[in-house]
Amino acid sequence: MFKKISELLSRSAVVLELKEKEKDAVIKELAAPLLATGLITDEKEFIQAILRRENLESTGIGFGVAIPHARTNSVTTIILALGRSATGVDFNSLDGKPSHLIFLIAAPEAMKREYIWTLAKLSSLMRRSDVRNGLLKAQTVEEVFSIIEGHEQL
Amino acid sequence: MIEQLLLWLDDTPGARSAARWALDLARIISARVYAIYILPEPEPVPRTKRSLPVTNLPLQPAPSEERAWAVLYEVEDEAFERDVRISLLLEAGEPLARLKDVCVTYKTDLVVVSADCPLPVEKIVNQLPGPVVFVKPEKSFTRPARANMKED
Repeated sequence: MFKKISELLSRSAVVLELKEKEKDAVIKELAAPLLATGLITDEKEFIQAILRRENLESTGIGFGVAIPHARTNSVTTIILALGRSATGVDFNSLDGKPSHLIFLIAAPEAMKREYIWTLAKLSSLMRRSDVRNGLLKAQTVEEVFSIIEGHEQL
Repeated sequence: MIEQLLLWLDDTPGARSAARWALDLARIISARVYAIYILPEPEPVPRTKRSLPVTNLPLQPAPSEERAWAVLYEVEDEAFERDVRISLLLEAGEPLARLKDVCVTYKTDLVVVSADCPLPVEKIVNQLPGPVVFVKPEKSFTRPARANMKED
């Protein structure tokens, strides 16, 4: 059984208001708290892996959500960060809308199955308007967790 | 000239063969792929248990949204390994109508589907704009011809 989103996301990796406005800078801003966890062994390679993927395809899934992601051996396990942007960030979503909720996911090459299912679980969760609205309105990191945990149990 | 492919995915081995064929082709001709998974419209909930006769219960549960995303992300991962640009679409509704909409919206030049897809071939060919390729499941899978194609 794979870990839940709420188990993969650490409280220190939730950024309630992103400072950066551009895609590449936002990815670096979201990577910062993950670096502090020690789960990223090579920062440069990690950022490059995410940006390489980003350059090849849009990771904006629509509804104001983007999930930049990559498989890379610059991380020791599957890692996840969440950032919110009030102004929105252009992730080239097919619906043309800026992303206000940005999840950054990376996993080692060998953890393909868990990586795919984490992406699937998260995408499925984020298509629900009640979850998105709850996350956008949450005032604290605890509230963010409470919303995710609550909906993961359904 | 084929610049954009629409790949119709579902949770069958045939669709995986169609995906590999489409990604190989897209890599060779530098085309962009739109991969779509179409979920059935949610069934209206019966007002009482009695209103749903036992004989009408579905024999197989509908694929979950999570499973659909997993299929899409697996294909995306394969596309990335081939340096193929890909966009994922998860839609719900009547498959042919959704495929037609996506063909028009994204101006796709070719549709790739599994030969064992649940719709009649004639219906797909007649109703979708542009050419359609039906890919047989893996056993008879052949890669797109590379003749006269420049190697990387």
